[in-house]
This record gives sequence, C-alpha cells and structure tokens, in this order.
Amino acid sequence: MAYNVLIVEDTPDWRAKLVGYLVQDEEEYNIFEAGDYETALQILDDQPLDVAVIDIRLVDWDETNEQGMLLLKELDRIADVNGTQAIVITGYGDKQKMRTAFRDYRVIDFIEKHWFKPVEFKETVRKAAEEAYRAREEVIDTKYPR
Amino acid sequence: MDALGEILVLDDNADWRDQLRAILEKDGFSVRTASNPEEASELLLERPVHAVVVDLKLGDLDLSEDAGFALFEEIDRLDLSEMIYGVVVSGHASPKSTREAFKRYGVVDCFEKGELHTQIGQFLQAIREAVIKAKYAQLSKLGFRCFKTGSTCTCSIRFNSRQVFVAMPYNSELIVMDDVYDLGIRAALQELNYEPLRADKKPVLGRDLMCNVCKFIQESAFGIVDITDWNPNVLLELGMMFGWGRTAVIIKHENSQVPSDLRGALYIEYASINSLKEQLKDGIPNLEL
Repeated sequence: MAYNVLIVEDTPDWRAKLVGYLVQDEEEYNIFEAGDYETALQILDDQPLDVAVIDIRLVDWDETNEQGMLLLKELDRIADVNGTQAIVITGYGDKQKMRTAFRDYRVIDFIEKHWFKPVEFKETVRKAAEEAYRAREEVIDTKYPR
Repeated sequence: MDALGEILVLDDNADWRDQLRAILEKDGFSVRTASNPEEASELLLERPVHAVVVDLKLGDLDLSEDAGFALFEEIDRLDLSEMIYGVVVSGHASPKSTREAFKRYGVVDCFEKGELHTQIGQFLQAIREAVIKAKYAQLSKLGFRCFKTGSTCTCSIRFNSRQVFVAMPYNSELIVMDDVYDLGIRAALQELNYEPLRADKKPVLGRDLMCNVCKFIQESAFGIVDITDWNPNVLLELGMMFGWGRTAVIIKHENSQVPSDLRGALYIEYASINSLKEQLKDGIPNLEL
C-alpha cells in the first residue's frame, strides 16, 4: 500500500528536493504537490492524506505570510477523521510558531531548513505515515442515535 | 484538600526556584526544588512527581549546552517517561533545543524566562495538563477494563488532556439542547482552552457504539454530564464514569428533577445558558482531576 503524502512548499527548488527524497525512499508514496495555500486546501478536501509536509511562509516575498499555520490548524481539525500527521519545514521558524505547532497542532516535527537532514526527514515521514495508518484503521463512518 | 499535583522544579538559580515555587504553590500544587539533575533524580526517587519544570541552562557551563536534558534522560532511564511530564522554563533556549524538548522528550510546553511573567496563565495551564497526563498514566498502568467483558481492554486508548467528554440529551421540552451545548458548554470550555467532545459530533470508531463511548470517556480529562430529563443513555454514561473514578461535572436545567440515586451528589443547576456558561467557567479551573 502506498501512503498519500502532500508537500506544500512555494519555493520550486525545495519542493522538488523534498519530492525527490521521498521518490527514492524505500517506502512507496503517492505524492501530491502544492505551491500555494489554495491548492493545498483543495487537495486536503479531495484526498485523504497520511502525511502533510508544510512550509509556513507560502508567499516567498511576503514576510507576514503564515498561511502554513492555517493549514496546520485545518489539518488538526480533521485529524480525528483521517489521522493525517503534519510535519513543518520552514526557513522562517521562530520559537513561538514552533510552540504553537507542537502544542496546539500536534505536529510530528518542526524542521528549520538550515538544519535539514535528508535521512532524518525520510525517517520522520515514514514514522508519520505509519502513525496515520494506525489512527485511521479504526474509523468507520456511521451516525449516533440517542 | 490534597495538593493538585506533585511538581519538581529544577533550576540552578535560587531566585527562579523560589519564584516558580511561589507561583505553583499559590495555585495549589505541592512543590520540591533541585539545583542540579542529580539532586532532582534523588528527589523523584524519594517520592514520585507528576511534572517536572526544567531549566535547560544549568551552572556555569557553556550556554550552548542543555544540561537540563539530563533530567529527562534520567526519567527515560528509569522508565518513567510515561508517568512524568515536563515543562521547560529556560533562558536562551535555542530553536533546536526547543524542538528537541518537544520532539524527543514530549514536553507539554516551553517557556522563555524573560517572557514568563506575561504567560503565567499559559504556564499554569501547561502544568495542569502535565499533571492530568501523569495521573492518567498511573490509571492506565493498572490496565483499563473492558466494560463488556471485565478483562483488559484491547482498544487503543489515546489520552487527550484537553478533551472533555460531554454527555447530554439532544432534545428537551425545557430548553434547546443544541444551544446548551454550543453557547453554554462549548463556549465555556473553549475559553478555558479545552475541547468538548460530544459523541454524535464525531465519526464512529470501531464496531460498537458503547465501545466508542467507553473510549471517549477514557480518553478525556473529565466529563460534563447534563442529566436534564434523565436520558437513559446519559445516565448510563455517568455510571460508567463513576465506575472508573473519572471526574464528572453534573449539570441540569432548574426545572428538571434529580434521580433519587443522585440526590446527594453535587451538581450545577442552570436557569439560562448564560448562567450555565459562567458557572462552568468558575467551577472547572478548581476541579480535582
């Protein structure tokens, strides 16, 4: 079974790099790519995901852009249904965002680009995918009468 | 009243030890302090603690070193990492150390010393969360028992210390129950940074409805149970919570009777949704979980 992984990253170089690492991994992934917030939301809506790898600033020239945090919030909201696990990769992290991500949005990891290590990244994605699978295994959709 | 929880503070600075002790004791926690990881380890072997408050930068060591992590390592070594939860209060913790604390040692939160005075509420919230997690781990170590078979539960239970199970009827002649939930219970809980969980608002997990209710109760920090109209499902759920020793906040509309078995129980009686919300906001922070 291949895991569904979404990569949200506005910088084409980084996006290609992250996709590249996962393509050559021993684990099999269906990879979805988004270069902006709207595309990412659309994919979240269309597709049950196991792992979402998310950059925080999604418009490179806009220093105030934090749309990745909104995606984390949305993912956390739907996490109980499909078990999607989130990983942050950012060039502009700060401790406050890291706290919010770990504490409130329960991300698996928060990686700053300048300390990025491919081996560690692949391992984290693998662990996240297994966790998502485990969480989703239990879900059956029915309704509660009272 | 017993202390709300046992806390161990590790900090090499005596002023900070005193300050943290004062903040925590004022809020009802029992506090011991240590100035180095070795002393801290001795204290937690002497008497168990629920949470540790850890300064990462200890002594005159190089500031790039996070000496406080040694206590988390020791907790791991003693196989207590499921039973004791950490909160970091440190000066100059790098983003990398902060990540390490969350990812590797599963701390509940990290605070910067210079900012703590503006974040006392968040700090106490983190401590409460750590204590609830630890108490829950003690409970689960005894093993959950299945409500159907009485033998050990085989479901995967994942405790969420900010989740609150809500049991209530969905309709009543007395009041609009959806408003009680949305504007009363949910509004109060969200202001206190808790997430309500009403069984019908979730997809059903597993095969059996009661199995889910059981799981939801076990996974929540406490429950709010509206006994208005004596809905049989609600009373059954309340019974399950009693049986497992879980804290239940019982509420009811003022025009609804109390079942005879519950006449001696403490409960919140509400006349309006607004008064319910205010009573919950006042009462919940003082709950002993």
